[in-house]
Amino acid sequence: MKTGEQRGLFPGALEMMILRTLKRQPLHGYALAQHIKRTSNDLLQIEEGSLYPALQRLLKEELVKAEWGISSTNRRVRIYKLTAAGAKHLQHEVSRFEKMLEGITRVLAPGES
Amino acid sequence: MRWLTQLFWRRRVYGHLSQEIREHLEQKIEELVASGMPRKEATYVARREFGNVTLTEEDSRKVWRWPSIEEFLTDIRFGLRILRKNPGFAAVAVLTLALGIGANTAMFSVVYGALLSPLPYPNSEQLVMVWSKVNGHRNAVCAADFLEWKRQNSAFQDVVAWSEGTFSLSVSGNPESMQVRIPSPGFFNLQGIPLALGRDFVPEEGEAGRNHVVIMAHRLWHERFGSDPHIIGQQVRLNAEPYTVVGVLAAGMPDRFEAHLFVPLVLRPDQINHQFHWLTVMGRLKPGVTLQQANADMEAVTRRIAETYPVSNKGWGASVEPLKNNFTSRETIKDLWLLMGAVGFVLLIACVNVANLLLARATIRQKEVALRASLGATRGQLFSQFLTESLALALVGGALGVGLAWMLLKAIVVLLPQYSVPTEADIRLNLPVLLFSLAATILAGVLCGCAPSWQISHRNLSNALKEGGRYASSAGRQGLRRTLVVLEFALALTLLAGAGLVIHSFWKLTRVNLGFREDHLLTFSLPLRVERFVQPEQITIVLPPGTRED
Repeated sequence: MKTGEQRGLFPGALEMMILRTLKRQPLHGYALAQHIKRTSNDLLQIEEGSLYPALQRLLKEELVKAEWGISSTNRRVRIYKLTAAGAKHLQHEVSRFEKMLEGITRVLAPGES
Repeated sequence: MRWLTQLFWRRRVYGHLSQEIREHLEQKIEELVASGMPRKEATYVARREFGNVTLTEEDSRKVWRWPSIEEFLTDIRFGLRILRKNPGFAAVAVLTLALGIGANTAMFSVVYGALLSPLPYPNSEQLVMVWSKVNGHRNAVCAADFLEWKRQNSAFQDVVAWSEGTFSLSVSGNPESMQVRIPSPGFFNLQGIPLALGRDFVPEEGEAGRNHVVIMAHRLWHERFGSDPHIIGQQVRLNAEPYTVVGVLAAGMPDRFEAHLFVPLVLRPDQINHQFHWLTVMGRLKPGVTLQQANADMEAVTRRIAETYPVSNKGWGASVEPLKNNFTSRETIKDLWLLMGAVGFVLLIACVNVANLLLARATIRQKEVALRASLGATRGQLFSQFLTESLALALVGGALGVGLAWMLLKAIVVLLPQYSVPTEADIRLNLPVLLFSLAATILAGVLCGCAPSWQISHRNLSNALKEGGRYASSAGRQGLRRTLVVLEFALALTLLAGAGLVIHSFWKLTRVNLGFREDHLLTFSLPLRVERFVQPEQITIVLPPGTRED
């Protein structure tokens, strides 16, 4: 997968999931990828590499910040943290997504019409 | 300032990125190995789950870039590198394009200088020619009409009239026949031509007896008077009479006038009539007055004159016309544009030629393209890369072309027949011309790059890889190349036919029967003062040996 769009993920979906994951705790890229894979039950089939362009976009927008640190396995890793702006952005995006999802669900719901 | 910090941080960002991705892969491999997978397989799995590493890095970097410009520059650099690798191909293509662009730049300099550029006068759009008009044709102006116009009009800041003459200028005993313009006082002020020394004629110098004053062009002052800084107030001999120098024009445009000497126009009482049309009249419109308003004003003025002098002036009106291109015939304008079209064709032919060369070379680069595509280059990227290569080619060609145009212009300015372009026209490489060249260059690059680039980026790539380096040429490309050759021939034939027709009419012109043998015949005129040579017997013509007087 090159970008979210090509797998049917809507633009911004990956970023939203990253922000949500980082809200729980700061993580480095590899751990972030594993966490998203695990929690999504691998349903999304995200290529691990596709996280990095998304992380760069978030860095550029200053929604996350990154610092070099040491991982639990004693590796030098870059640890990403949610910024205040990132938290706000996440909230906004999630509420937008929920509305969208609700709309879609209503349309798809059987029985009515 | 954010972009500036970004620029400096970018290299670090890129470094972080590569390191981070490396760590990511290693960590994954370690974990897989720890779970019991052989290292080799673990490496393979890690890479597969990660995806295309190069592409990921590229996409991540792209976030920090101003994408199009930087990609364009990278492509240009790459294009130039490819060109350096193939000097023979590059030389042929660049020279072909240089010829096309050079010819176009040179021709456009002429067209721009002669037809398009604003005239080199302050507020030049206010400058108009005022002609007498009879039966719809323009005519020179008679002195009495000019004086009436000057008095009665309300559209002009000022109007001036002039005639031309030939005077004999003597400097230290060497007489030389000079063309002289004889304008009414205020001529230079009206046009806004600056003087390097002295002043414009004052109104009193338009009266008989006060008119022995002269203004000269900068070039004449330089060539005949050694740029004498004390020339104002000195006397020169014109037609054997003393004239006081009152002004020297600033260097530049006035040096291109036919006349380099100016004496004031005096209207003698016997010349002030409504019959003899001999003056050329120029005016400067008042600010905000349009051509239509000026024409309406002059119509009222001429109608009043015609009512007062019905015998001479019935049917005579006036026509106010922009100065710009007023002295350039329709024929000349048409010819200039035709020539521009012809060199445009030359550039098109050059483009088709280079396009064909590029296509031929694309065959050789099939494998490279297939490899790039399999490494993740999109069609768009391939297309833009090849297009940029041809643009790089065109840019080098364009730079050479401008140099070529510079040399061509030196010849053109000398060879250009007199009066074929306005005297004000400054034919040289200036900013608008260079912008035109840049546009022509980019157009050429796109024109000759489009077809090959499209071909390259839309080919069935797996075939190219399978063929394993054998240079197969598909039927489609052959078709395109054939089309280009046909196009090139069509263009060249059109050009050839046009050139042939011009040469044919020129040849016919040289064979028109004039009714006499024109070879070995000379004609010349000798300006003489009627006052000094009253009787024809006073004139002796000394002919060079071998010349016979018929």
